[in-house]
Amino acid sequence: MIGVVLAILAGFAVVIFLIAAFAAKIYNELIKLQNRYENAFAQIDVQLTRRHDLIPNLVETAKGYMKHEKETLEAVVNARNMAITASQSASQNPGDPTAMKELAGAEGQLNSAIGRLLMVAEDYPDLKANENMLLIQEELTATENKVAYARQGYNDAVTRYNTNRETFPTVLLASFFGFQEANLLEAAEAEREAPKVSFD
Amino acid sequence: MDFFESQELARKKTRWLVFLFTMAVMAITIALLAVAVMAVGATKQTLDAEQLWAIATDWQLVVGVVVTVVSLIGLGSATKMLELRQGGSAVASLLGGRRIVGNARTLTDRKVANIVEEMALASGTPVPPVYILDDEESINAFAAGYTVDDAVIGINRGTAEKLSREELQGVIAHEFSHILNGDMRMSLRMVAILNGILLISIIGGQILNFLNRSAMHRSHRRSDSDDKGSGGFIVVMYLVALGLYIIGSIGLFFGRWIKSSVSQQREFLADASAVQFTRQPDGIGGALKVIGGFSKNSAMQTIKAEEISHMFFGSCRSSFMFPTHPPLLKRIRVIDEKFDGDYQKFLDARERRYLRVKQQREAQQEKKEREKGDKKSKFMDFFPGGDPLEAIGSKPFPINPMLLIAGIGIPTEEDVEFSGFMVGEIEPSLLYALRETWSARCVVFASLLGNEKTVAEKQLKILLENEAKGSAETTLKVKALYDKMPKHLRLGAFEIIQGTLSAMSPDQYPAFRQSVNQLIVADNRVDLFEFFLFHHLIVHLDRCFHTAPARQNRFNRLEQLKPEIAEVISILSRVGTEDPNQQKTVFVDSMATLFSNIDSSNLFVADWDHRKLSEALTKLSLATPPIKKEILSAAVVAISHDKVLTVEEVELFRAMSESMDCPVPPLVATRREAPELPGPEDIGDVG
Repeated sequence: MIGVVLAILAGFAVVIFLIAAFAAKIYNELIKLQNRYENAFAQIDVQLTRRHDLIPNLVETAKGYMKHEKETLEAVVNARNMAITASQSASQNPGDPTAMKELAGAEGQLNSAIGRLLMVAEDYPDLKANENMLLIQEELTATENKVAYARQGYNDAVTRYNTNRETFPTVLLASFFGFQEANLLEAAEAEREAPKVSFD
Repeated sequence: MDFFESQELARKKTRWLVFLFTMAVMAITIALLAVAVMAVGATKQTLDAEQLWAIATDWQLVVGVVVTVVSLIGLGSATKMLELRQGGSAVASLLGGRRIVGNARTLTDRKVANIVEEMALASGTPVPPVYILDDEESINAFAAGYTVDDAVIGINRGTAEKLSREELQGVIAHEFSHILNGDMRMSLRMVAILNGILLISIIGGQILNFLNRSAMHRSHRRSDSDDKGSGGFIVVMYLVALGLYIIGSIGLFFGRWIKSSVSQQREFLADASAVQFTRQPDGIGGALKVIGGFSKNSAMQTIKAEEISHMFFGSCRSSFMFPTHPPLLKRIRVIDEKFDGDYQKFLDARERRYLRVKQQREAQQEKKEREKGDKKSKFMDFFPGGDPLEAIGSKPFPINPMLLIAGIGIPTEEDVEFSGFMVGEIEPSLLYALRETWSARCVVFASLLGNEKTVAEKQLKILLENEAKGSAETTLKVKALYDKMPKHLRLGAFEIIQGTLSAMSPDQYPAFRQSVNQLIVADNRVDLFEFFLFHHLIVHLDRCFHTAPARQNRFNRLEQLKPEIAEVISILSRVGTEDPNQQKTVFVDSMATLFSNIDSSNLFVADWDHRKLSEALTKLSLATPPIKKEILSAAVVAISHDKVLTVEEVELFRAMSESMDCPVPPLVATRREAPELPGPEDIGDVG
């Protein structure tokens, strides 16, 4: 009788302990993975900001040559402003579905606006030869590559988090703890097809 | 006390700690057994000693209790250990730290990143990732990790914003001394083991809670008088729960006591080391005084800090029983005897000084520019014969070789200052690239590009095929900058890269690693110095990304490592001279310092192969600290056989020593005297 009672008690204690330790482990793992992808997003953000910073310079340089392309230039400036807003709200809430979609959309718009500007610039030989213009283009391409690499890192981290969140034991508790699914950052449409930032 | 003694001490202390906790576990088991015996005795309504003894020696009961205790504590510790497996970064993520990545954008972030970078270069360790705890306004910081490889530094936002550069440097030097002392591993282990012991008292509390609630529930329907049989059961439950709770508390009591006593001494040691590393008592002293005068002092907001409270710079909570840190005033007085305890007075004076400095800043700016030239001449000792950038040929300078060993792991003020200077010497666009994941990769690729056209073309093709778009182009671009970089800056540059590349994603690293391997195979003619840089980088990153097994100290006798030592010493013997006979003499003489009665001339390895050398170095890094010290001493004998050392030889030694996890400060060869780390005996009277 006594042995049975003690065995039940010990079993009881072990079960409580297991549940508590299990829940704590799941929670901590999720926190850790969430923190990882948030920190990975910071790397994208650094490069996006750098790109946004290059654009006034680009517009300023182009303005001197392209007197009749006000609309094209304005489109770039507007797209940049939207992209800045989108990236700010995204960096406050990395992984949030709307923020990520908006960011991808805004960056896509910015890409195509820049693409158009560069296409139009083809008609201005002086601008094409301008050293500052060449430098900015070079920087834009380099930054684009870095964005792509950082995005890959972020998407890896998000995938790890999501997979963990949806795997069996964790999936039972993830929503209870308030962990939402995180969104990947898709490559902007224009960016996929057009690295045509070259002049020849 | 030197670096190796300190490492060995930390290692032994860990064993001692494990022993103490084992004792605690045994004590808990025995106490629990006593409770169980009493409980059984109570239900049988007997207090007869003989009968109790019979119960206590009933093997079923004993086995049951032992299994329960050991499995509970074991599981509690094991889960925590698993959670902290990834070391420092796991701790930082749990606390919600924001990692400073790439070229930091805000001034505060940049300041912190710069100081950490300088400190790492000054000690000769990879630059650890830095995390800012944005939600914490108080002044505190921590260093966490198992080894130099997974170490991270965490800094409260308040620390970064409120402290001056000098004070911040003191705090970071304090944290670095934890990294260099090798006592971080023990701190992390302590977290895991304490977790196991803590759980017993938690479970006891839980059961008590549950019983109380169900007792209340029952009292509502007491009229049903059928609780004859269950009465005894409830009493037993109560007794067991209470017992668990009390026993758990005993464990906790001892755990905290040990934690407190170990941790307090470590803090004094780290403070003393910080003063030594920066030779500015005002830095760390000032930081401690600011904590004292600040209303939020060093208290942490997040509840998660409690678990790792002993890893912080200042205490996370105020507690009279078992403080994790010595009293603040005591710590300050060890550094500044004259301090009267009036924090407000100190803060006022600090404020006035700050204003004065601000006013004088413009005037100083001009002076600073002029001083830049003077600074250069200050390091001329290390680079005799002119500009340090030009002197890097093979100009020899006479030094005392044994100072190289004594200087390991102990940076001084000059090293810190020199590291700042070194970073300034790196071409700005290259420095920018070193700090950014994407381009830092390309710098590594660039360092592997062969000089022959056919080889380089083959290598570029590998990059085009394997790596992300644009990598090959960037590699070519940074190649020109990298080639121009003088050799004495390269180790530092690689230390920065090591920190930067640890931010790759776990999926990106294998691809990078594969490209690196293919580049090496394509060239197959790696320069010895570059090889050491490389080996160091890859070993470090492998450990960061856990593709290498966790390190343990395994070799404690020189004999176990004879072929590996011969391999490494052979290579070093060939650096100073072209003559094969002379090389062999150097080799035999160096080996004789390790193996006195063995003829080692037949162990000489005449040519080197990077795979074999890399295996040898990996094995040597598994030696215990005292053994490493002997091996490195023999290495010094080999490179200084001709009585002079060249800058190249010193840098080679540093790269090699660092790949065996023994960090060497950059100016180690210029020392006139051997530095000493403060040991327990130095602070015996203050603890």
